[in-house]
Amino acid sequence: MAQAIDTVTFKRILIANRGEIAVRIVHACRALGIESVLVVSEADRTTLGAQMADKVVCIGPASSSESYLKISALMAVATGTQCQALHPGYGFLAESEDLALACEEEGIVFIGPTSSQILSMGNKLQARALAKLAKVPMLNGSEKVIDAHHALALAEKIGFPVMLKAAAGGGGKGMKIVRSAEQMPSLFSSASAESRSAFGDDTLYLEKYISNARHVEVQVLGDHHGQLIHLGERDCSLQRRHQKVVEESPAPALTQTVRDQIRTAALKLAKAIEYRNAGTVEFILDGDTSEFYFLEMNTRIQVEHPVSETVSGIDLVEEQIRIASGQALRFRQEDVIFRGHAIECRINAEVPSEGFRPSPGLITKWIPPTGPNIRLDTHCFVGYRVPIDYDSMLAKLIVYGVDRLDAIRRLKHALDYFEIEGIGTTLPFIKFAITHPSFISGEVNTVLVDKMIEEMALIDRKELV
Amino acid sequence: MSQSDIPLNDAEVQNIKKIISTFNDSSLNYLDLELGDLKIKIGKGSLPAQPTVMSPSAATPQASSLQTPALQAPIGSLSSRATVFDEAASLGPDEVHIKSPLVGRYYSQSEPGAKKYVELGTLVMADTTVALVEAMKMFNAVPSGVQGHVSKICVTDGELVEYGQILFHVKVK
Repeated sequence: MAQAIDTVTFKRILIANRGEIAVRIVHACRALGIESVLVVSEADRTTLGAQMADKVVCIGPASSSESYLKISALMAVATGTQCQALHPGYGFLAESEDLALACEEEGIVFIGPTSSQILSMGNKLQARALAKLAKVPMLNGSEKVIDAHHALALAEKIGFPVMLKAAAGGGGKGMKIVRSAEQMPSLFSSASAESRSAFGDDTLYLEKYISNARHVEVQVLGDHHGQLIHLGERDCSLQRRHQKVVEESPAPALTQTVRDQIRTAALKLAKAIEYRNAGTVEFILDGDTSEFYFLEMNTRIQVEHPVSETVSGIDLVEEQIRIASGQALRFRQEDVIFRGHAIECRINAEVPSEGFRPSPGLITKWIPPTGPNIRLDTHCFVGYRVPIDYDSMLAKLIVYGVDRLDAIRRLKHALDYFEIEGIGTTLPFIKFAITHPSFISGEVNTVLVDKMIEEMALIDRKELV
Repeated sequence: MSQSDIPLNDAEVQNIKKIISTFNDSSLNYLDLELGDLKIKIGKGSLPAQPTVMSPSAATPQASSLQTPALQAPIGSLSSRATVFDEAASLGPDEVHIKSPLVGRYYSQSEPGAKKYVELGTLVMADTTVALVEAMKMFNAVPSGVQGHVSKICVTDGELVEYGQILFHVKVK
């Protein structure tokens, strides 16, 4: 399985991101003996990534639209520092077909899929059409809806409740649950307004809404030679405002049959578009019937990739780089052995007791958890000032256990002695969530976090009395 | 994945050497030459640090051009790791900075052979163009922003400049 390091032909890679994922990519570059050039905004000159990268180039002011989202600046640095490849990380321009295209035009390898693959999965209606062709199970839904009247007619055919979704969508924007005919007109107009302002496109469509839903996704890896494998599935049902909070692999409470079916379905879709590099096929699983349905495909590395790395032992970012350099996958499906259970939780600079308000500022104390089977992916340290300009994620804590309960026990232990001072964090909520009876029993769904938040607020109030 | 897709014969190598030596003796800072399927880009100054010889495009099979990185040897070594500009450093009395408003390649003239926008001592007005910064083949004129005489030039032609990097010192009246 082992191959000589010198078979990776990149000498230098541009990292077009920030925060913990920039650090993560620097690690992968170092492991492969590749030089890293990190672009930073003015606010990020002193970050951990900037201290670790071989070269740092400032590309603009703090505002991401003037820095991390500026393709011309990225390309100027990539060509100017003679980088052969560019890793986009996640968020920012990771799923921008324009960036992939700019790289293709400049002869710089985009570490990810082709621009046309990004495009085909980026538009949700087009992705649905491709999934249908590939015979991947799909929620009963519609094509583009023209207006509220049209939406109502279609919703009655599908059956309430339904979900209004943005075709250009992502991150929960332009998404509304419609429970009755009366709600349709007002929710239709707010969904299309939201979609227009977030994506510049107000195309909406409808899907049947599943009330007891789990979010299950499958990690896939494809090379340039037609090989495609999966690295198992992750359950990411614990979400707040469509942002994942806790992720784990393998997904709990799935029968082996359903587990195999969902993995096969993901590979079918990836195969249909000859997908290459790392990608994730997301599904909604109905907790009552165990039926699953295609949701969308993310054409990039994901925040929660470490849980798949932990149970498979495969370094996903390193494999991304190897694949992009033209190497054939080093693993066949049967070489991938899954072991034990991994859980990741995201720690954000937010105050749970105050409606999760953002809490930027100077970190005055930072004692990270250590010990066997504990991994912390972060860009933070004592003296680091969390800027107001970007998302609030401070760290991802990943633990491994021989089974799910072992992993939960270890996670609790790690969280107990993780100390952060100077800013507010979501640590108290995460501790509450992973010790909640519903989580421990594996009875998770996408509305559980809201229930947990209510319960925690109730306990806080009682303690005050 | 190998570098064997740079099949230059001896005569071609000799020709390239000749071009480079002629270029070295010339007053040009940058040369972008296309002869049939052979492309040569040569620059003086810090970046690119040495001549970059592109392989003939016909030698790279179409199918693999997207799948495998087209290796362009040699790749210069990285210069200084990181730059933090010390704002007050070396500013004389009545001096101010002109900074680059974007990241890109710095040019002191509109085209090779043209008059330089500014030289030491040049009197600039607030709207005087003092440089070009190129990103993605788009040339952005950098206005002075201040009135005064150029007292220091901090960058060299063809250099990659960062956002906010100091380009010039200007002695204001």
